[in-house]
Amino acid sequence: MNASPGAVLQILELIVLTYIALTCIERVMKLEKELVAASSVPLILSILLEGDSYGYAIIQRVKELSGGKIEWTDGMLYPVLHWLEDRRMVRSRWEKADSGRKRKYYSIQTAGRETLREQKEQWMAVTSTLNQIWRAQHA
Amino acid sequence: MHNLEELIMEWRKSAGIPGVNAEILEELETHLRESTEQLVRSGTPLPDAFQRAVVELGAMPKISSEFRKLEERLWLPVKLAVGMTGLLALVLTIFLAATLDSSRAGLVLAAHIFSVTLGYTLTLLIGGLGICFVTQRTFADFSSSRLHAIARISFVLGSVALFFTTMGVLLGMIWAKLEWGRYWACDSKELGGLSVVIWLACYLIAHRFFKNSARGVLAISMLGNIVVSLAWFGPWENGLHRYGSPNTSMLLTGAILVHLGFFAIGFVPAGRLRLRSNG
Repeated sequence: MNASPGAVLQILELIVLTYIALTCIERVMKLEKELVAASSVPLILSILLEGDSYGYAIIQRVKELSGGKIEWTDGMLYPVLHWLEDRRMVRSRWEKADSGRKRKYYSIQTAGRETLREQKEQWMAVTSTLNQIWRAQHA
Repeated sequence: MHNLEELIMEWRKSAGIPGVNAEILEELETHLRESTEQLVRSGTPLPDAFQRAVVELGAMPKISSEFRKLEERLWLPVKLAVGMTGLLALVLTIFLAATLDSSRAGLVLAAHIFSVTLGYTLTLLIGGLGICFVTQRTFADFSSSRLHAIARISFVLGSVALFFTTMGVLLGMIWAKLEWGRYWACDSKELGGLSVVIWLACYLIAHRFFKNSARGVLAISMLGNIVVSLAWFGPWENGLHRYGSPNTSMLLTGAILVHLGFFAIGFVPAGRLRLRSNG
């Protein structure tokens, strides 16, 4: 059975539209595991510098800031928070939220601010070096 | 149809694994609740939302292994306590081997001295950890993972101390039977040994009962020093165990008062003496 020219045109149109749609969908770039791990401390400390916060809210903030590019396994945040607390970079306290739920809030301490300042310098050095190389390569 | 409480209870049953203490579990549970409720608000049915939240939280063995890595770094006083115990055991072995009387009673006596000295010293070191703990805590509080790690180490050391002290008391009884023809005469030294055994047993039981109050068990460990001091140096008039002198009672009273002072410091809020550095 022969297909009518109209049906062929419709199929072609569908294929073209599907192709256009697929190319338009932004692929969310995920960061390498090592890079995510290395950036976790400055990220957490930077978020806590904005104000005291708790685990779930920190994760939401990271997702929001990175546009989903940085993906943490939620549970892995807590050992990092406890590690920071162990080194006195942050301090924790249990507090009752307005909803009546008890949450463990973390606040940045002087040692944390110091570490963040150092890490910021290091990350700046890396990004400016990479930027210079890539700019030169583009020119 | 499940409700959130049932789902959380089921999750808790499977989540309680080594390395994850009650406080960490509570924190993870709070996270799970927040995550589930957020998903439910966005239209996901509760069981699916909970399932997704659990998956996003990650596998508990993996989380627990990350927490265990934090505990691997030993607190300096614990390192010192373990090192000193090892050194004492070595010195005692060398000393007893050099002065060994190869008769049966002599061997039993050597084993008794080794066991009791090690058991008592370990108990004193546990009390020493308690003193270090309350002192350091007045400057800066301990993180919960560090606190539980220290409490667990004091439990292990307490178990070893109980083993050696009990062995020492039993060996002392055997030696007394061989030399004096009786096992037990309720003399002050024997009662002292028994008191240390009872104290250590109570201390280990306290660990079980006050699982969530590591601070409390570490603070009471100092009281063990009073018990050991009285057991070791208290019966100074006893013919066989004359370690002390008439001044011993004054020294003992001083030691008891110092320990009670440190015990009182245990009630001072954490970080009370912290220098104004952290904001």
